[in-house]
Amino acid sequence: MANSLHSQIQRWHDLLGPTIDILRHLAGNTEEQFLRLGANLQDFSIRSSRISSVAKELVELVSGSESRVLTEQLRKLFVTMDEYLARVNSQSNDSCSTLEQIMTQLDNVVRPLEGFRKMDKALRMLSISTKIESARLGELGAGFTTLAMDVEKLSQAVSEKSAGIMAQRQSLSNLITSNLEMVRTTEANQHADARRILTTVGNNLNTLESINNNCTETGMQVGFTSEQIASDIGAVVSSMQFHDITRQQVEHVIEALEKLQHRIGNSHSLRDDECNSLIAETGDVCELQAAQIKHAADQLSQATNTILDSLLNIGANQARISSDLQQALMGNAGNSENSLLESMENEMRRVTKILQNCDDADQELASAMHEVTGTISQIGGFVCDIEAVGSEIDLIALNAQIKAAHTGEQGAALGVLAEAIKRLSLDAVTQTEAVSSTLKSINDITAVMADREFIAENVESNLVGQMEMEAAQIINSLSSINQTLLQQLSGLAATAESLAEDIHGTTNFVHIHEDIRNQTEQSAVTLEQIYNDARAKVPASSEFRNNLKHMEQRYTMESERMIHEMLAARHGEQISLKKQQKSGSGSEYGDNVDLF
Amino acid sequence: MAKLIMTADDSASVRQMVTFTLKQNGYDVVEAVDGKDALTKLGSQKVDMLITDLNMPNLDGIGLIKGVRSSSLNKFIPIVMLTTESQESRKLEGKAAGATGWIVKPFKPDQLVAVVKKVLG
Repeated sequence: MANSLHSQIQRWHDLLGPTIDILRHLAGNTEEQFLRLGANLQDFSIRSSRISSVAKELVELVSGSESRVLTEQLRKLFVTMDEYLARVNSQSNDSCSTLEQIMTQLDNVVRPLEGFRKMDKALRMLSISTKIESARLGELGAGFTTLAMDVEKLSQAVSEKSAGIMAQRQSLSNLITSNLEMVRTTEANQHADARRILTTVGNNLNTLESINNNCTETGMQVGFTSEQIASDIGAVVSSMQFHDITRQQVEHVIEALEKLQHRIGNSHSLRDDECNSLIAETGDVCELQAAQIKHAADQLSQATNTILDSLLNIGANQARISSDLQQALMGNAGNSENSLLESMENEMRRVTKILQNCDDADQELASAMHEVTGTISQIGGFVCDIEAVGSEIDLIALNAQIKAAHTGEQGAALGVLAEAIKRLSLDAVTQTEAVSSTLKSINDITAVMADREFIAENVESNLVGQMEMEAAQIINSLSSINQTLLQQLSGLAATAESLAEDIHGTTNFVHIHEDIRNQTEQSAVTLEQIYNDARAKVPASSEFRNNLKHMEQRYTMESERMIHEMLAARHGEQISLKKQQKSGSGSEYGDNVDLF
Repeated sequence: MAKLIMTADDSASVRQMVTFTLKQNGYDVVEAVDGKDALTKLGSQKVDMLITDLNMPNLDGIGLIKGVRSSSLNKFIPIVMLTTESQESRKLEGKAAGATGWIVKPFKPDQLVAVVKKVLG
């Protein structure tokens, strides 16, 4: 063998040594880093599951049965409010109309009361005239003195009673005027309050429905994202196994190179033809192993990138779940302290406050109406008294007529006075009837009003109480949900943020695949250099398959066999990739699974 | 009570992924670093299933299956090979030794869990 050829082979021998060392290092010293990555994956997976689980609980809390109960309560409150408003409106109109009718009737009392005043004057005059006539008659008219005193007393009684009625009428008129003002103000206030309540309750219904819709959408997104996360975790688990797969491939390359190194190390005594054959084999082995090592490095690099991408996806997806939930539950207000539910809770507190105002106004109105009916009842008492006065005038007139008849011709003047008293008694009856009739009309109106107010007061009081109770229930539910919500949400955001940070931290420090790629590339370059040199001396031949037949026994992986077959084909050998007959069933679990 | 499954593999990272997948799905797992370690542990511990690699130092997967099938404690448990080996002749060898199934690495977690559920009934 020529010396130059020998020294060339020796040089290949020397190049193979460090290359094998690099590959041995790769096969034996990289597992620790993958184990650390695997431990991190377990930690991330557990934390990710917790986030998904809390997110699902939150979605259920806000869009589930609790929310349905709340929506139902709000709708019920809306209906009750509508009924209440209709009733308040009708009641206010009735109250105003009644008070206005009473005012008209009170005006009708004035004219008969004026008649009483005239009657009082006439009685006084008659009393004086009777006294004068009695004095003129002397002893004969002694009985008329007592009659004059009775007439005077009667005049005083008429004066007192009519003044009393007049005062009560004025007082009632004032009361009604002020009550009318109060009723109109209350009506305006209640309408304004009711409009505010309806708007608030309507807004709350919209808010709740919006939260519900957002949460349902977010819930679907959480489900979808959880599936993606499970898929990412699956991808990491699959990719992590490529460390073992690559290790085995590298070990197979090492075995092939060690065998070649041994053969060329013992090549000193080879004949020229044997030497050429060894050079061809060296080219074949190095070409094939360069391809195998490149493929292994590519595979591991791809798997590691999948691991890193999948881990980052897990972090990003969980951060998105947290952010979506934050958005759905806190709204666009940009206020991270108040959730939409908390705003609703505050609004419902306003509703309760307005309802309390309505309740107070109702009670004030009822109390005013009671006062009106009380005053009218007092006026009724005065009317009875005046009726009694009318009867008494009648009796006095009769008495005067009898006494005048006894006195004979001399008492003719007294007969005229008796006639006048008799006419007054008729006037009194007419005036009394007029006042009495008017007061009876007022009484009838107030009696109807009193009944209606009594009923209405109870009904409204019940309605307002019912609405307050419903509002309180809604506030309780909102408060309870909101408390849980804020606690969970803030925990969720912190957990998702810390998970994403830790994943970023972990992935930033993973460079094992780059190191492996650099070292395998270095090995592949050396192997390519050897096989190029070898090919330059002895071109490739159809002996390729025979030269490398022993290697096929070593392969365990389909990919190794594929690379071998492809290179063999390049050198003129037919590829015979027969579809292997499966020895079991189990395709339902995937192509890589056989169940016997 | 959770079913107990043994994973035998000389690769710690593969054992880690098998254990992670099974524990996530409610199984208890015991690990063995090679066939010999597995056979020793199975001599005194009853398990519900064995998942083993084929190529391992000290005792390979085929040897382990034969050992388990000739033992008394775990004689009838399902045994699934989990290996990079995909040659049909090796599968037949495994089947003849008493393997219940064969999974070529890399496995997907869903696949492994589905197979475990299937063979454990």
